[in-house]
Amino acid sequence: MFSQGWLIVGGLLLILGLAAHSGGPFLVGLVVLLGAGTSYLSHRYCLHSVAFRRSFAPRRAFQGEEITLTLEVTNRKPIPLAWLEVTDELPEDVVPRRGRIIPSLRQRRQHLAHLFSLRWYERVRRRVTITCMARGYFPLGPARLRSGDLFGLTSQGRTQEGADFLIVYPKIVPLEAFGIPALHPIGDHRAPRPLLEDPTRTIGVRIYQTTDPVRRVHWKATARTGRLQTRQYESTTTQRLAILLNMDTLGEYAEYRGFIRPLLELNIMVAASLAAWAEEQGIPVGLHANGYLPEGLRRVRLAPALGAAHLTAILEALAKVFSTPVMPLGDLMALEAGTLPWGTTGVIVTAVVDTPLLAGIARFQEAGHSAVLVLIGDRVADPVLGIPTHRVRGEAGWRAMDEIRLV
Amino acid sequence: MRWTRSGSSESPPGAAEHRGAHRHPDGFWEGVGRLLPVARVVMEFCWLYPWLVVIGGGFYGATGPLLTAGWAFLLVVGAQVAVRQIVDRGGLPRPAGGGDSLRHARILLVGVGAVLGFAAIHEQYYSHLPLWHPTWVATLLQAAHDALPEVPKPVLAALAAACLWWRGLVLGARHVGAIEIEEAYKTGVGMVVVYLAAAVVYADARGFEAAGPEMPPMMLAFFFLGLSALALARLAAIWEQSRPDERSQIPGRAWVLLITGVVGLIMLAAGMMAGLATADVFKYLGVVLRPLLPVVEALFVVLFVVAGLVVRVLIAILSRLPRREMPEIGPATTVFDDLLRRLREIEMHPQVVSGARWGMVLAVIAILVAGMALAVVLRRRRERRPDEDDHESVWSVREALRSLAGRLPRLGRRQEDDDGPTAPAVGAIRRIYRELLGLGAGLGAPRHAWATPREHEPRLRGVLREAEAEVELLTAAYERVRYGTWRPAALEVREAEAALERAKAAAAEPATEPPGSASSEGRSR
Repeated sequence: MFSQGWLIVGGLLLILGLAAHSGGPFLVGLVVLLGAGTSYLSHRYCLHSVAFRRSFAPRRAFQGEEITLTLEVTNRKPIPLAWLEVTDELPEDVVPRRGRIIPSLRQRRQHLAHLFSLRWYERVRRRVTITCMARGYFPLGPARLRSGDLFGLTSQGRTQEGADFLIVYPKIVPLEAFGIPALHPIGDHRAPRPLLEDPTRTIGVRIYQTTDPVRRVHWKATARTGRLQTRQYESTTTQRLAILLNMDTLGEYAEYRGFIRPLLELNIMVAASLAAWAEEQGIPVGLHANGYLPEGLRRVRLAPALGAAHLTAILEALAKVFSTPVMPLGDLMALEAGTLPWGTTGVIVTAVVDTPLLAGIARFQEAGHSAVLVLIGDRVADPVLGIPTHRVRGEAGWRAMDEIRLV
Repeated sequence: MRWTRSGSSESPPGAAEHRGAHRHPDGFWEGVGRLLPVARVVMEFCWLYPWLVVIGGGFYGATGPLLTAGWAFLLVVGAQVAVRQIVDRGGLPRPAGGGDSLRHARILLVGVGAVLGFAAIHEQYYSHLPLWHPTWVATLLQAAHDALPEVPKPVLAALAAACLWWRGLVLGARHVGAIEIEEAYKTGVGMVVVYLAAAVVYADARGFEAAGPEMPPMMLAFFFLGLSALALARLAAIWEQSRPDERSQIPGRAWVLLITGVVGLIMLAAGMMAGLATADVFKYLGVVLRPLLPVVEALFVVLFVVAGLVVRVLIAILSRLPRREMPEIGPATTVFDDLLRRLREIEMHPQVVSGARWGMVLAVIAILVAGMALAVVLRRRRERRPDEDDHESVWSVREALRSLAGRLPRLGRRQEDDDGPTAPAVGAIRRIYRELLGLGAGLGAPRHAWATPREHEPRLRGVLREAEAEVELLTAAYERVRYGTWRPAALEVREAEAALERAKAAAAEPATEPPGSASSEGRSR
């Protein structure tokens, strides 16, 4: 309202009133100018000393879980704000339970609009429950604050840069029957059948037999009992799992052709579930994927290990990994074959079987590793390679799947 | 499930009861939305009626307005309300015998308009005859028939009534939102300005003489209503947008009070300032505010009645309390008794007694108000839901003072920056450069107003050939303090002073150029 036109009108009326000694024009001129001044001041200072803060808890969630987003606005000035619109940019896969949603121009983003009314020196906190519909590494923000003058004639906005990142882990579902062959039967994992014994793990003693080697004689026990005793060792086998995740869902390394999201998400879900299963079984598990992570644009490469922290790292990598493949999985397998410990079992999770992948599997096996193939979806054909092959059908849809059936 | 997207909502289960449980001002803003079309018509009436008076005065002199303000208001607003009712209900119910409901609505509107218009004309011009008497209608029709070349006043009034009714019909059929209110406000301001300008220029014209030299109070009412309606219309529009989220609601009553207060303050401030400028406007404000007096009076009467009742109830309760037997007062209490007796014997002024009584009444009122406020706060706390917004005050005297203090020195700094340097070293460099400029000017090279220090440097070098390095040094130093944030150290200031001395010495020395050179010739001239 504080435009040139209003100033001219007000000024002219003042001059007219003074020149003609008439109270009417003078008074109206004053009213116009005071109204314009009030509008100008309330417009200018509407966003002054107004702060916005966004927080959410928990900072990490699994797909399908809900988190609480807290929006906090503070008005630290003596002028109240009749309305303050806060438009926060959110990913489309994070769905607020309540609130006004405005579509965004940016791909797979949306705006959550909230209206606040703030008195002088007041802070308002609003909590919104949001559901994490898909895995990902989501920036929340930036937020745009908008308010206006008292008479609603003008409005101004301010963008508050700075995003908070939410990590949504992929859904973990129970695996139904999953057998992994152990090629290198040594290590600290107890095997179901005694194949070889681990000399570092003594489980007891027994009476010496003539076929026992002399070095297995337990001399202290022999001295104590007066009869020759032989050490009995625990039978162990080595199982190291490397999950090899193929981000390519179109085949023949389709870097610039995009991806089929249901297949990709199912891929990632199966990989996460496998990792969780392996952790539960006490099998060291690693993750290698032909996709990049946002931090430093590095490839997903986590060597087999055990522990809850390691599983968290795997899940975090699966949450963050970019959807676009950066190299054929076959090439990645050839690269990693030499770095993995001999005898590692590679579980290849893929929605496509193409020539580079077949070559990669061959190189992987040549390097002394075994391979298990997990095919995702119904479209991909079984290559019949003579290795254990499973299939996860995706007819239920990756969002609705509560259990992975390996057939 | 996404249940809200750009206003079109698919309510989640339980949303209805959730919404019902919240204290959201749905009804209030719906009421505002319903009142906005009426406000728009009233705004138009406020600037239109003075013009009607001027037109009537122009034709018939100071014989009174064509239509009284009340009837004119009734015609415009009545038409708007009638149309709005029909539009909101989706038309009239279809008649039992068949037929077009739109046609019936039109007939109804014309009929009501005719009845109101005739009633207005009768009230003003034919009130000596009963309303049902056909004579005055015949007279009016005869006058309309013989209208040319001179239109009788009742005929023109009837025409004005028809125009007002028609305008009300037109406005009633329109949707009114924030944009329409803004347009109406701008149009109204334009018409008020034209009216005032015409009133000043043609003050001696018959129409304006009839209207009087003073500004009609309706114009002040227009500004009051216009500014308030602007703010409320915008808030109502924002409320409409954010309707799906019941937490995103604007507390209506508080903002109406605030807006009314601000607009009232604007009017009052303008009135006071206009009064200072010897423009007598308080009588208009008095006219505008006079309708509020009975309200204030009624409020006080109610308050005092309630307070009186409370006092009587308290006295009644206290008088029924059983009295304890007081023990014998010993000699020590005799002094106290004497004091009380003396106090009782003091003859107090009746006004003091009356003041004390009223003070008690006010104290009771204050306790009542505090109790009510406490009850409201407790009730709100009880009704509070876990997902409701948290409101907390961030008021802090220390922070407010710090903010104020942070603002004042900033103003001071700006003033200082405009006035001169903030540090003595900076001032010294500026002073030295000023002396250099004076030296140059004395040698025939004054600095032009448009020249920057860098642009002026060649001219200084031209007249101080023996001190080119010093000129360069001083110009650079000045540039750094004038346009940069450099604060020279004491050593650098001393160097600058030494450079100035050298430049002065060079200027004092006789020219070393060969005779006949341009500069020496110029200097000798």
